[in-house]
Amino acid sequence: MTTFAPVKSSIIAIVATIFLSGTMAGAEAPDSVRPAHKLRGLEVVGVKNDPSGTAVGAPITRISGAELRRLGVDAVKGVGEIAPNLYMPDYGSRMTSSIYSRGLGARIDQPVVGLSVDNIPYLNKDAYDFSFTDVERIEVLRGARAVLNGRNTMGGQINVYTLSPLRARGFRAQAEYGTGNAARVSAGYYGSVSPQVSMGATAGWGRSDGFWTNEYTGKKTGAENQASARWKTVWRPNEALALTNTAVFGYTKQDGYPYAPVETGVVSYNDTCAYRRTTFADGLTVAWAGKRVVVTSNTSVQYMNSRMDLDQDFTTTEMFTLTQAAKEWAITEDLFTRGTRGKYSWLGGAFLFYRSTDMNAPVTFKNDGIATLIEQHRNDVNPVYPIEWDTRRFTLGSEFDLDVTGAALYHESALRLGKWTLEAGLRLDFEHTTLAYNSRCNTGYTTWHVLPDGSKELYSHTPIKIDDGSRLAKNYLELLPKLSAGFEFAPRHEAYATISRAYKAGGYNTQMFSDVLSQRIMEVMGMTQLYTLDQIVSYAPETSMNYEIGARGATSDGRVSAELTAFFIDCRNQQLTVFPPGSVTGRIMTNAGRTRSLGVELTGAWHVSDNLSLRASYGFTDATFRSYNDGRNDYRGKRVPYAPSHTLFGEVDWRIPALSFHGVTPGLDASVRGAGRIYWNEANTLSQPFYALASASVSFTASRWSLRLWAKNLTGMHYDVFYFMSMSRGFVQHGRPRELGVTLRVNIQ
Amino acid sequence: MNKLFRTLLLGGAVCAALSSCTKSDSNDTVIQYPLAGCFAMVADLNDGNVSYYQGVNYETEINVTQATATMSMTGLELPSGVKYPAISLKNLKVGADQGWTAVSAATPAVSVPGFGSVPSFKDFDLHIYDRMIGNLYVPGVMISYIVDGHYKVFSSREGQIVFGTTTSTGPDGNAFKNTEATIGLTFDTKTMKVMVELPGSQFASGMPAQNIVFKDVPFSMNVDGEASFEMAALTPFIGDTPYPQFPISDLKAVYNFKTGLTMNFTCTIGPMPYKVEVTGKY
Repeated sequence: MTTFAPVKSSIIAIVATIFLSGTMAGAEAPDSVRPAHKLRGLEVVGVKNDPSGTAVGAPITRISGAELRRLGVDAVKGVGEIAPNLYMPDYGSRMTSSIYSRGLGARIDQPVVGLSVDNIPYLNKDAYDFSFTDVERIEVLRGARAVLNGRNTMGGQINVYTLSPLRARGFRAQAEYGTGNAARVSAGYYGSVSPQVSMGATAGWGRSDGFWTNEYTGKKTGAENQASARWKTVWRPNEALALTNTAVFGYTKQDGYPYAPVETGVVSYNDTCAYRRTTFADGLTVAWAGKRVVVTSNTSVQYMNSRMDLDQDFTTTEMFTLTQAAKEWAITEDLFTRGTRGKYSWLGGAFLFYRSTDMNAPVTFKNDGIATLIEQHRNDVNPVYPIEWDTRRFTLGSEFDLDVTGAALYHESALRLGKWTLEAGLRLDFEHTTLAYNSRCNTGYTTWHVLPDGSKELYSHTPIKIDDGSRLAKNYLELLPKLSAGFEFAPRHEAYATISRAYKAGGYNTQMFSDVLSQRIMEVMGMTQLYTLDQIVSYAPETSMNYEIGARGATSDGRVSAELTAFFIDCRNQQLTVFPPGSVTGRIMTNAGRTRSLGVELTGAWHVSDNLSLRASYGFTDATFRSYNDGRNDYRGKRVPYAPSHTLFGEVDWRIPALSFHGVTPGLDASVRGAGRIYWNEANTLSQPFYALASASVSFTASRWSLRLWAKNLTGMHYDVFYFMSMSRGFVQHGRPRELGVTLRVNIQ
Repeated sequence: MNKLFRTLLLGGAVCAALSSCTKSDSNDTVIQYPLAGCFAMVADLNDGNVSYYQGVNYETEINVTQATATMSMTGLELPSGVKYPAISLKNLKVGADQGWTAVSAATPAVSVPGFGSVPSFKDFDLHIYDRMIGNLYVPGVMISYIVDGHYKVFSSREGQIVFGTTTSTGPDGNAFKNTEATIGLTFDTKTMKVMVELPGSQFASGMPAQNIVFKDVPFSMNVDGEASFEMAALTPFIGDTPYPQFPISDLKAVYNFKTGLTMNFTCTIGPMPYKVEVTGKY
């Protein structure tokens, strides 16, 4: 008898749940994952699920690798709408990973949804958007996940699992070409080095011209070149111990942010917009199964080097530009144990992390910006003593060292009492954040005196030499409880209720430093700096209380399943930027908002036959401000912007063996995904109505290869995915147009 | 707050360094108050003429345990042309007066080491109001005494800072109050002109806070420690630049070095006159 036999039953339940809900019926295509020769239970206990082994009060959307490939999803953004009430608009660059879940979300700084890739927790949402290959499955854990996943999981947690060399074998390759001169190739090999060691290595490359043209330069904007590589090693020295190491490298280089003024709809700007990012991460999972307990350690080291250049006005005038160059290191350690004794299951652990970011973010004012934003504003007020800037270009320099250290203890217990399952959890999260900054500016202006005869004489010259630096620090402590109850009112049918608390981390918004320096310059010019730097850039954690009820069920043969969830979220101390009274330019960060979000989610799947499957999900969210006054307007009662009211997803997958020829089986896949209405501003005066994007593909599948002809946004729907204001002008990014393409996959074992 | 008055505070207008607290040999608690760079207004009690002198320093040592004090003053000059080196005063009594520390003596013992004539001092009175502004020690100081029965001296610092309220009333009769107003006054006793600084001024809701300065306003002072100034019209400065678009008119103010400031003026913004009332105290 093996040493981990008492634990094995729960592991089997975990694996069964994972594979059952995520797998579409029907014969698996040769490029899908097949179960290994026998269960590799220890490998999956790197997954930190609830201790009962079933998802009590925890709706999960699972998307298998096969489905991801059918839908053409090659990035985390693509799972939006498949999971109800999850919206991840594709705009800007790979740096912009704005995620909205159940009405919660953020464009800057801290996210509301956590991301883990092969048990590596991504701490910086700037790295969330990347192209992946050979993904085994993606799990979207909907709703607050604070007890087990900690910070920034108010809206859920996304777990990405790549193919395991224990389950995948042989050579795999993919080549794809589509609209926008988009090409992708990847190749990988999975095999055993020894009876105890299996490895998989994969690499990929892709490029795209983008879909829009910058009319000013005549060049395509949104072009991208990207590359990735992954090396995964699984070592099982004995039956009680398993180690998995994943090393992953990524590179992205993008040109252009395809933002267009609302009034013209045409992308046209003169300065460089680009994004480049290099990432490396290594994650080691060690799992040891004892007699009654499994101990798991997830350790990761992450590095990111990025640079963003932005024409901040997105026009053909010479206003101002931003560069943001950052290097970041992060180390994480998650050590947890889980066990079962009869009806009682538990999971407990500790999480530590350290993240250090070194950033240089200068803003350069150029001729038109100096003339209109500074000189003209100032001289309109005092035409008798007008100013003239010394140079037609100057830089506001900002450098930061942002360090965050965190530690957490957590525990979750589950108790089965007949048909009832009761869960309770608690997490104590501590964070220490420091910001060391240096802001510099060396410029000046001349003041003239206009005489009554119209001539002018020199009045004074004012140098502006700013060299400010200091160090700020904050500590945060959060207690995050959770209570859940589930009742199995029929076999494979359960109702549940959950109450939990979650939070979005506090910290420092370095993007506000341009406001800090602007106010310092205005201070030299006679305006008062009323707010300290700490008041301008720092923000406290945002907290939420989450209330959820739901029911799920499946037929005895598992062919039909459905889940209904209703939720209410009370979000407090919302992190907002406001215009405080007396401020000349601008904004400060504050925790001044409160929102409430309520809604429902419905998911269902029907495996009509082994060859025909249907899947659908729908989400509705009514998210409004209970309080939000930005110093100029009161938005109480208004809908929260950027989060859609509805999300919709539907898919039909039909394999047609009856039409097989020469070992090739054709298939059809049709899907639709939609989102909206999306309000673009707090005043709710601008919005994107609900839109739906239809996609379809025709596939030909053989034993070692498959060919897919696909179309996305088949009807060529016109829609906008993003809107923002800059210098009193509205800008949008249009959604991707119709795309056609072909994908060839090869899997030789 | 330090930044708002960096010119005022760092430009020498502050005559006070940090006080220090020590234990004497007899274990009494002794506090030293070095009050440097004060002005002295010297009034001739016979003919009423008034002269001003700068750079007078008062080094006061207060024995808190005994409630006594001694003082050494340097830089005192009289209209007669006498310029004293260090004058030492003893037998001073220490008390409290409405939050101020009061050091006084009807006839203190006077010594002037190394100087031929020793002046007589009568009705010596020193008031100190301990105050920190940010990290700077910026006390209130008022000193008065009579020398040789002939000259009455009032002494203090040229730079003054008070805190209070500005109330501005627009043409519509609505009042806008700023209860966190800071007012700085620099009395230049050479030119007899005062500079009034109003950092962070807001006279209307939504108006950006600005550092408004009234420069070169003539003032007069009496030997009891009260200054007054008025001006029919002046151009305010914002920062270092005149803003003739926002003229100031009907400026009238009285500043008592102990009780504080009362000031009124009209500020015209566009076509709108705003009547502004300013009060400030230590």
